[in-house]
Amino acid sequence: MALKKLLGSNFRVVEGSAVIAQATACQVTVSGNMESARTKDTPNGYDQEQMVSKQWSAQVTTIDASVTTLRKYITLFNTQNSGQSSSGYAGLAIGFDETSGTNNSDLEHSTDIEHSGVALLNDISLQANNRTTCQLQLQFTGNGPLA
Amino acid sequence: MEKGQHLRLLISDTTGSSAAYKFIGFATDLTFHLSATMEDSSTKDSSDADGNVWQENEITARTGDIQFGGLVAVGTDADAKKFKDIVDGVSDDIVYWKIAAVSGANNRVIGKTICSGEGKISNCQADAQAGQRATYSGTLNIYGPVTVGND
Repeated sequence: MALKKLLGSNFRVVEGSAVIAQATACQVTVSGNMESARTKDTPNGYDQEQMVSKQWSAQVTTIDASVTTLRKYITLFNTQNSGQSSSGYAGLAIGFDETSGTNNSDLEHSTDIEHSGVALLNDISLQANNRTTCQLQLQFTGNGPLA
Repeated sequence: MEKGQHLRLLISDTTGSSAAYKFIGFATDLTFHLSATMEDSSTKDSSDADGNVWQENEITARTGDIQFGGLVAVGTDADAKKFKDIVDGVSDDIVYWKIAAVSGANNRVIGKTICSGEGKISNCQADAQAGQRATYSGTLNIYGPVTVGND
């Protein structure tokens, strides 16, 4: 019997329709905000939690970011303002999917794993040590639903 | 970075355009970090088509710092004196910083500016081994806005 295809090997984070280039690691996290629903008559003393809302975040680590790329993300960090409720700025459209080929820069992608949403760039870390190429890490916080 | 090009932190006691910028120290190792403080901006009526409520966020503040290592003084004796004042002065004094691409012999040719701004050195450690010039490592807390290079 043939083994099922192991999904996620070519998992990547994309910005709009373009892949975030030179990524070495991608992470997407979805978590629920829980609230206790225990009442005084809940049996056995065990808590009963219910999910009141969800949030998501993404992180990408890249190597060899160009001057243009570094400027772009610092500019974005500087200019993104408040969330949807007050200024109308929702954030950057990002998503994650899986390439169908062996190269993460392939334009074609599998729809087996595919999600997208709007996020705010909440953290930039740039590491540049002597005799090494620079490494850029971007963290996005989801702003609204992950579709 | 383009092949053969690296990033370097430059510090100065004066500000200026990229052409006139006179730096008096540069660091070989750096970690540049910007972080936004987020606040939950969800309202009780925010939900998707399936009825899920997703958290929405607003940026309420921005902070930044630069961890540096291998910082050395460059320039004239007068520059070295200014450099000494800067690194000795873990104080409230403003230091002007710039992160730029460098290349060429010993990576001393300064190319395009990534970003620049003001900061305050909040800690500094001198490392002076036998037979070697002193290098400094520490933390520069970014003070005020970060300006993106356009050269």
